Amino acid sequence: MVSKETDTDTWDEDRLVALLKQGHEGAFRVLVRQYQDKLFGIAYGITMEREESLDIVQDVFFKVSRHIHTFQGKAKLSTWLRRITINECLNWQRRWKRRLRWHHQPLERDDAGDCPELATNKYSPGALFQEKELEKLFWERLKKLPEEARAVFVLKEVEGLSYDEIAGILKIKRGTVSSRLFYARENLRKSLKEYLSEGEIQ
Amino acid sequence: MALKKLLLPLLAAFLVGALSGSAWAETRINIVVKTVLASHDATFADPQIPALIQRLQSVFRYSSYRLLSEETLNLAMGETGAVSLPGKRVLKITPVRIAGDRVELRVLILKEKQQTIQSTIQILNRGSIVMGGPEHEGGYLLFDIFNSF
Amino acid sequence: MTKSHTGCDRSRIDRFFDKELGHDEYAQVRDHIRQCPACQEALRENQALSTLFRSGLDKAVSQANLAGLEEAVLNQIRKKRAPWWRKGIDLFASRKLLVAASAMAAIILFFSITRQPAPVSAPSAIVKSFSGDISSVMIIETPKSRNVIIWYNESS
Repeated sequence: MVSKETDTDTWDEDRLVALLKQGHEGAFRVLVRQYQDKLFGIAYGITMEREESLDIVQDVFFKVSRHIHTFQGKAKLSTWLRRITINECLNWQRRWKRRLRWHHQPLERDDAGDCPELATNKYSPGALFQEKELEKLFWERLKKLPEEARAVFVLKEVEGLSYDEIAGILKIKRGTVSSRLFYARENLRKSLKEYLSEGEIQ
Repeated sequence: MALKKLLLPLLAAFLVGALSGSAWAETRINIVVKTVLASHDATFADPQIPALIQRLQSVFRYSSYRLLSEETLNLAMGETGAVSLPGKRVLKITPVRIAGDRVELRVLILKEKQQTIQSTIQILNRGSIVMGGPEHEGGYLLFDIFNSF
Repeated sequence: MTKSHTGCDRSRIDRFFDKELGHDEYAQVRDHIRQCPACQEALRENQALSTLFRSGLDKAVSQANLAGLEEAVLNQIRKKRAPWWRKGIDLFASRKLLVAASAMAAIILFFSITRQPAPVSAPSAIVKSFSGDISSVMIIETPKSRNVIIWYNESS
């Protein structure tokens, strides 16, 4: 049964961290509710696997519960959570690659996985087909980006974070954020150029 | 005379014993071969092969698994069975011997009558092995070979 | 303001799009964009990429089973915290154990009767030899069930 405490939206970060350090169960509930969507968005943007993303997010919260006593408040709690999530995603990808030791084309192709489902909308069948194809292509191309570039793109697009915030999470320089983001967008733009003409996307 | 009277029943008993003994010794191997097409082209999990897909998904990351065919062989030791595979391929299986709780199979894959694969595999009773994956129609072929005896 | 100073620099357009330019530079780039169809197109493309990403992500989030996550996390934390002896006592004192144990017994009985294969402690197959007209081969064992997969590449 959820206590009344967890219903409030007035938990500030310092109070939340203090209660988390005390092992307050209600505080963990608040933590999960506040961050699960955002962290799932980051995890999915990088792994593009729905089930793995859920596992990663669960692992992140569990790690927080075990290591909250080490959190000193030098960075924001949200930055810490995002950093753990990114690291878990990149570790997941490295574990996956290590499992397949030999290079073999069918197994190296990691552009399979959960493609976002189709949405119905008000467009005509022809336009709907084009949009479906474009979405599918976009996610395929996004998956082909190098991890570092994709991580920056995802953090920017999921959270609207500033370059400085992204730099803080990934522990890289601001200039590196800018160049990786440019690289990601440039790659995506080039490969989707013919579809991204005026009026295709609204 | 008494001996002759006994001879026929004795002979009959001997034959029955010999035949039933050999029948008892002749284990037949039941083999089920499933041919699956794995690809990235679609998102599809064939409902006919849920357990196989679960096993494959622990290793592969294809988005589509489709059962193309399923054939059953019932083979004696040394007897060769053949299964047609897509792309002018044939899978030939010969049980060689029983080794504990495994059957040793000689497996050949031919493509356009040319032998491409030859392998000797010991598979657990009620176990299977998956072999793959030749390219086929935008995806890859996987052959699941299940046995029981 | 000169056009060459704030010219068609894609990375600067990106920083404009992300609102990462200083005040003066932002104004200069904005004025340039007003007169430059190529840069307007670049902004539209960036927006299109954002829209595509957001749209796919929203669908993925809505389809993910996040509802159970809170309880899953709490259960995991509680399990970790309980001392080992407490975990044992709780286990035996729990009425739920009786139900679970009965269910487990029924399941075990069912499978023993129907002769399902025992949990695998050995690989499903042992590959004694493998050869052919191939360019590569890999032999894999699935993590939990230890099913064996032979993956090969036919020579072209």
